Amino acid sequence: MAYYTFVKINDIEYNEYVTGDVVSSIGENNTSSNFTLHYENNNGRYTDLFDIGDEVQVWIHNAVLTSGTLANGTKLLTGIVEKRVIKGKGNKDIITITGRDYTARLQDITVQPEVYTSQLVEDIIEDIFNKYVEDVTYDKTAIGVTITRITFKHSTIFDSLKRLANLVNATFWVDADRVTHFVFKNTTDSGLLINNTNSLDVNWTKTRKELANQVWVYGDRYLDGYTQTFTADGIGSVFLLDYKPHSTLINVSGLLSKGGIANFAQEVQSGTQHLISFNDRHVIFVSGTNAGNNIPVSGVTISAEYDRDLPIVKFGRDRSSIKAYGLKEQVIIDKDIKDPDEAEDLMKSQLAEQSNPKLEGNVNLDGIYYLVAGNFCTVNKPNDGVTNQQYNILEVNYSFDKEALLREEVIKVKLNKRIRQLTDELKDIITGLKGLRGSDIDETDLITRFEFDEDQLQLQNDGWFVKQRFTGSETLWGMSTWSGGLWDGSYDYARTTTISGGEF
Amino acid sequence: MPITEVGQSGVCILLAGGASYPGYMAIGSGSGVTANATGLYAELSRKIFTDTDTTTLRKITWVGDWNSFEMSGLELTEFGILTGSPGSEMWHYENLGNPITFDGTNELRIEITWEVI
Repeated sequence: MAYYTFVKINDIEYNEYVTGDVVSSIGENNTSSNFTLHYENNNGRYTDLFDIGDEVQVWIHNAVLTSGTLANGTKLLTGIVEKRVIKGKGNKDIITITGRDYTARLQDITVQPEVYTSQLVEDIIEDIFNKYVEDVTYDKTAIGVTITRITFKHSTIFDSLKRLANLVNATFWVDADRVTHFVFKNTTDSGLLINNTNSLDVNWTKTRKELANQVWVYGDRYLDGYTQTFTADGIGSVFLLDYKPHSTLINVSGLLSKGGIANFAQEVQSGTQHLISFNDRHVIFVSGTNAGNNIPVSGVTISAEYDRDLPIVKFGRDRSSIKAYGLKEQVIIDKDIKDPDEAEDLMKSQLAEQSNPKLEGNVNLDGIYYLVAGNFCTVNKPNDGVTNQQYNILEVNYSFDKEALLREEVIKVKLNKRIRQLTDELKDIITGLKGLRGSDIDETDLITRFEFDEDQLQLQNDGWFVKQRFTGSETLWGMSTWSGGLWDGSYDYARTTTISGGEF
Repeated sequence: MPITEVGQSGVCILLAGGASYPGYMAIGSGSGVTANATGLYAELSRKIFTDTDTTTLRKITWVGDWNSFEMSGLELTEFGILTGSPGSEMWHYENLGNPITFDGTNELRIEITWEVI
């Protein structure tokens, strides 16, 4: 047997590609499914046929596919051409089209500022899809986990789904029918058993690099009103506050005291009664030549009203992991976290995901399989230390060229847990920057909304005709100067076009 | 330019709820390189359309008829469609170049079709 493929671009069959790749991927990989197709473009054969935005569909099967038998095959991908490269060299012109599947829609659109409180994950996702997503649907599957609180501030729908997936240990992907699936990991069995009979080469990488068994999560900070009272002893001039004070008001015997900032000036300004030392948390009543004696007398009540700065911080550690692999910390600072429960959920999910070393498998398969990233498979490679383990399929890479199709050596799969790469770090940096820049965005912000649209109504003069009809000396019934001539329908001569024109 | 700028603007205004639209066809014997905004260069006759046909999708055809008595002795060099009486807007203008002479034995029909694409 061999593999057979079928490619449609804008619903027209284009199976004459030279080589091609289709990568089926899930959200965990920070990438969408994508494709690359190379065609011989002799005499510019495809130059006017392929363009940005064209829809590409790819099927695969173990028998020849025709447009009438596509239902027998497996549809690998429905995507959009996002890049077209034409390379000319001698008598060999190649046109290459690349693009993403409809996950692109999730990566191109953001979730407007919104807070979801005490809602099921699947309800949150459904709401996001109903509000923002076009061209892609959501197959609502029960997850059953309630998210206490989560805030989105113009993060892409892809990143938003990824945040939700991280919180509940789920995974998501968009299939070839443009349907988004969001399910727990290892939910759907692909039916694939990888063992010594069907694996051409295998690469297992296990690393402590991304391990974290002690996690700090810092969210946003809040100012909270606070009051402290003291009774003066008539001697001491310094009073210690419980917290670093913001917007401080000091009352002495019910009268407002005029304040200043400690060490702000060499000489205390005239009229100043107390100074605030923010970092020392001190209220210092001043005395001296300029200020006079402002030290409260014994028995006087001093009231300090100020805002204290309360942070959202959660900390957790996995002791068994620390014992096995040594302490390894992770600090997450995310100003988008506005709620302690949200911080706690994140801390727990990070510990669950990262307290053990990651194992990533890459396997080149021999044989014909129809695999979708997001499903799981079973691996039995005892010599590699993997005995009947169920691993999530993170990525399926189909490489098409004529020889590979005949040899049935087309598929490469990435299994279990993805080990981060430079692109993931860059993605994190970009996401972090967005979070910093957008930290002041709030769902209650008043938005001045402008909607722009434009379309063209092109009027075309299809043509005009000047027609004559020979009448001799007669006139026709219905004409304004009719005087007993003939009926229009009974007249012998047909109209003939004398001249015509128009723009076409 | 068959569809005049006045006509193009008129369509936009019509889409905005304007009440002015073509109702007349005119023939004339004048000549001009560009279309007037309000009428032919030398108008001979102006009539309400004989027929307005919109049965073909995205197309409209206006028909104007003149009988042989009306056309007798005239030289046709230009025609157009207008929204009303003289001084109204001319939405379409065509100049034939060489005149067509009517000797009283021919009637005239002019059909103008616009298409929205």
